[in-house]
Amino acid sequence: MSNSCHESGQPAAQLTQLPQVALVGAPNAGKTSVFNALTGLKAKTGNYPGVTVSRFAGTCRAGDRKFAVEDLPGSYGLDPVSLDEQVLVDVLDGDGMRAPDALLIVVDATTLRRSLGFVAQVLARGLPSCVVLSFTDELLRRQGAVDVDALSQALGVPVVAVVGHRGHGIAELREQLLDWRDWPTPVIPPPVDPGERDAWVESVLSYAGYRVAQPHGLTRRLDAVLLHPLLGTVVFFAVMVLFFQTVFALAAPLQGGVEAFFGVLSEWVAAHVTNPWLSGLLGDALIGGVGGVLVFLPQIMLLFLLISLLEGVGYMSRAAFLMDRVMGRAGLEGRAFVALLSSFACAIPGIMATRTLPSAKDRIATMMAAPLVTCAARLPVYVVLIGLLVDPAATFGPFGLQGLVMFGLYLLGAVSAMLAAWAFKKFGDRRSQPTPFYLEMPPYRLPSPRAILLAVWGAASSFLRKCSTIIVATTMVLWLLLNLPLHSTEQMQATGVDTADSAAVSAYVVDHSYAAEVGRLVAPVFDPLGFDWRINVGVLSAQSARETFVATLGQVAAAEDPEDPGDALRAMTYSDGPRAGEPVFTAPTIAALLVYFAFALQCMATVGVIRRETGTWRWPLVAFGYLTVTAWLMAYLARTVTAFFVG
Amino acid sequence: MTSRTFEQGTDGRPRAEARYDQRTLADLMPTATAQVVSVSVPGSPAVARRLADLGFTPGTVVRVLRRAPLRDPLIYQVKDYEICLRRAQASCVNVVEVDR
Amino acid sequence: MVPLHPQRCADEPDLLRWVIPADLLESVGVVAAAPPPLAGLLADGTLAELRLEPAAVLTRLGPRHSWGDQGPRVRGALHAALGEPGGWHVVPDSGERVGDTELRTLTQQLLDGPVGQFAAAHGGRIDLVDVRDGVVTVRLAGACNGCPAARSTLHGQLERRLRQRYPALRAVVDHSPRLIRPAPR
Repeated sequence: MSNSCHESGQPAAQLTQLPQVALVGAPNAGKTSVFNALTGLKAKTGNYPGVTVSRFAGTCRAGDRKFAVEDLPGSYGLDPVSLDEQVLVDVLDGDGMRAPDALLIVVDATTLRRSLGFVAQVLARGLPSCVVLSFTDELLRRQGAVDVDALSQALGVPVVAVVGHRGHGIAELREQLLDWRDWPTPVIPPPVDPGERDAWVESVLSYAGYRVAQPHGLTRRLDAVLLHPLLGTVVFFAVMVLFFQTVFALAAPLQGGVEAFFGVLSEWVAAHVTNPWLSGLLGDALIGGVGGVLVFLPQIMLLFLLISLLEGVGYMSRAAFLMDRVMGRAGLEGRAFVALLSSFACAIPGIMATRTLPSAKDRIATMMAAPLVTCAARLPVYVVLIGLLVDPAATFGPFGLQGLVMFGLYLLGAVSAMLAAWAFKKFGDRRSQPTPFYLEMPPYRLPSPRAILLAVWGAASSFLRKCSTIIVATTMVLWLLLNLPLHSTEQMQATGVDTADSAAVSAYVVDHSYAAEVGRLVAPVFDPLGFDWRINVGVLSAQSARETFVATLGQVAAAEDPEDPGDALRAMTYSDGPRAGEPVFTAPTIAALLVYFAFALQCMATVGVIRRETGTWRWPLVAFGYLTVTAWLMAYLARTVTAFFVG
Repeated sequence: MTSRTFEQGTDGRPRAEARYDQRTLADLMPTATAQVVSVSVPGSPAVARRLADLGFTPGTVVRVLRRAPLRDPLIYQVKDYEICLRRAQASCVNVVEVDR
Repeated sequence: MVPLHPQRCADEPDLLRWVIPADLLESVGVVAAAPPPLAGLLADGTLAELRLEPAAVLTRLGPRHSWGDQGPRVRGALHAALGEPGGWHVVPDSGERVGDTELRTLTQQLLDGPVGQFAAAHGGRIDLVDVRDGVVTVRLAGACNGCPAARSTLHGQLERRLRQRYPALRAVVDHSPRLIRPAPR
């Protein structure tokens, strides 16, 4: 430490002036928990220059000094077979960006025989390195052993044992970081030749008194059932049913609570804010709009809770294994299943989960398919529309008809997603090499509650951010569009409106608003689908985020009949055009709307994420284009077919 | 670790120039054990190197643990951990079967 | 291929200890003749000295060479040479006492180092009593004494680490009233 105080005295203000420490390691090695423990969860996410693989960086304090810490993409080797791995190599080479000053090589202590091969490749790069031995608690529990000092002596670099998610060994790691300039390096870099490397690994392990962890008994027993060709499949479908059952059944009371809260808030505003303009803006636009969307917060949090639980326990790899062949039909691989499953919550985490796919082609195909999977944001739209379409008492056999329609829409989403993936894989870039499929089966583990809460919180906060920005903005703008321009009483009386009847006034204002003008402007496009200008406004406003549709329809209906918006929807008639006077929400129109929402990419956040993950505007534009066109065509088909049956 | 050569009898599937039973990981049934002879991925040295990084290096003993419901992919135990490979990749790993 | 890895030797940057399996080459002493590729390195001055120790080959770098340049070559040559153990001719160090001296030094190093620290951390102490004919006698003192678990832990640590460095070790004997079983294997 004495001769390493190059930055003595001056508190390094800039992140770039700090020593850069990078974490490298295999997927599943525990890199992220070490990263979280070091940086205290204050990670900054961004992108690598050029390519757009996500970059996680944070700062870590050790003693009186600070370090910039970066979590590099996980890999089993340094010969890249995917985009992420190319990034890893580029960073280590300092190609296009600053190379790290020191490396922390995170290694799963229970898979040392394989992992030391990776350590050998990293050490051969010659950067100051320290090996971080994770899952040491598990090694001991399973009767394994390793002498950390002897391992360090044999490798020629410092070795620190940690239990990342518990924070054990992290203090020691921080202390070790202080001396990074003085870390010993191997006299001779480990061998490159695979045979010599195996011999090196064998020798190092034997010197370190390595005793292999016993096979995890519980994992063996569980896998005998969960991966059984027949039983495993049954359990898999049971897990999936239970998964969605939990999400929807458990979320319902919570959603009721949120609804009730906003109801009370809205009443309070109505009672205490006297200015009709302010009251409308606050009550209808802000509280109504945001409340209508926040209702889905419990569901999104539950979905993320379950997904990260399944992931943390280790079942997701098993699901990927079981589903690989099926996904293979669509030209994808098992891991894409996890991405598509996450898309049931929201396409955004689903698209982000495509990072685990080693093949760029698979990533693109999965990203193009993910927006088709029925995400939670579609749910409110479906609930409202199905409520208008199907009588709640109607049954089909033992099942409620409403539920069956909902199930059908979920099925439609899943099947069309698979078809889309297949098409993109088949007609996409044919020159690219197929990437190999491999997937580690980690032992079943109890996930750390911290990691799970973190995942849920991350999802909840990004959803809240979306609400507080995009959705608030669109509902406000929409409210203004629906209520402007202002009409004088004389003007209305001149056209024969009874200004004493508030409902008539509202109807007149909405009908002559800017929003109506916009809705009528796009009418030629949506006329064949049976949409009137009010639905058009809803569809257009839903372009930013699907949930907005419910809020918009609510606003339009509330504007026409503030007492009972539900009835107003049902009673809504075409105000002009050839169909003037006929009811708007007929079965064919509702079917067309449902199908339109099933296909259309009405989510600016998804467009943004695809842009971020692919690094180009090409793919978000492709996705937007093909999904919008398909949505229109399928909606037209749905309208025609429904009209044929209903008559 | 001493290296021994294991000879196998023919399995009734004669190949043109096979001097001894040359099989790949994809040919093995669950719970069979084999030793890796070589890894060859025509046209893709990076994939061959990756299979080596995953633990499939000459001399390594591999055990077939289980097959997925539709017979593909398969889970192997190699170098003290479990990994799932598709037949397409498993067939790039040439092995000789050994008794445990 | 023979398991093999290099380790630096303290204070002697030109000396490298290649750890090899303990049962591969039994003799201890200066290597007079080695199989071809390794002999070639000695002949052309890349290596100045070649010595066999228990479970290790010691290589001393010739002048004006660096491990960074020559390391991979030396490793390759060692792999080839260790593939034919019969080709090694070693001039043994004279007498058994030499081995005991080395064993005493190694034991003392461990007691001054990691094993001693481990004992101290648990409130105990290990003293070296004697080394004779490959048998190390120690005395456990302090809090460790009387606790069977601590004793076997300490004993196991010392014995395992000693055996790594000196495979010819016959046993580690506890001089305390209760005798620890002689080393297995």
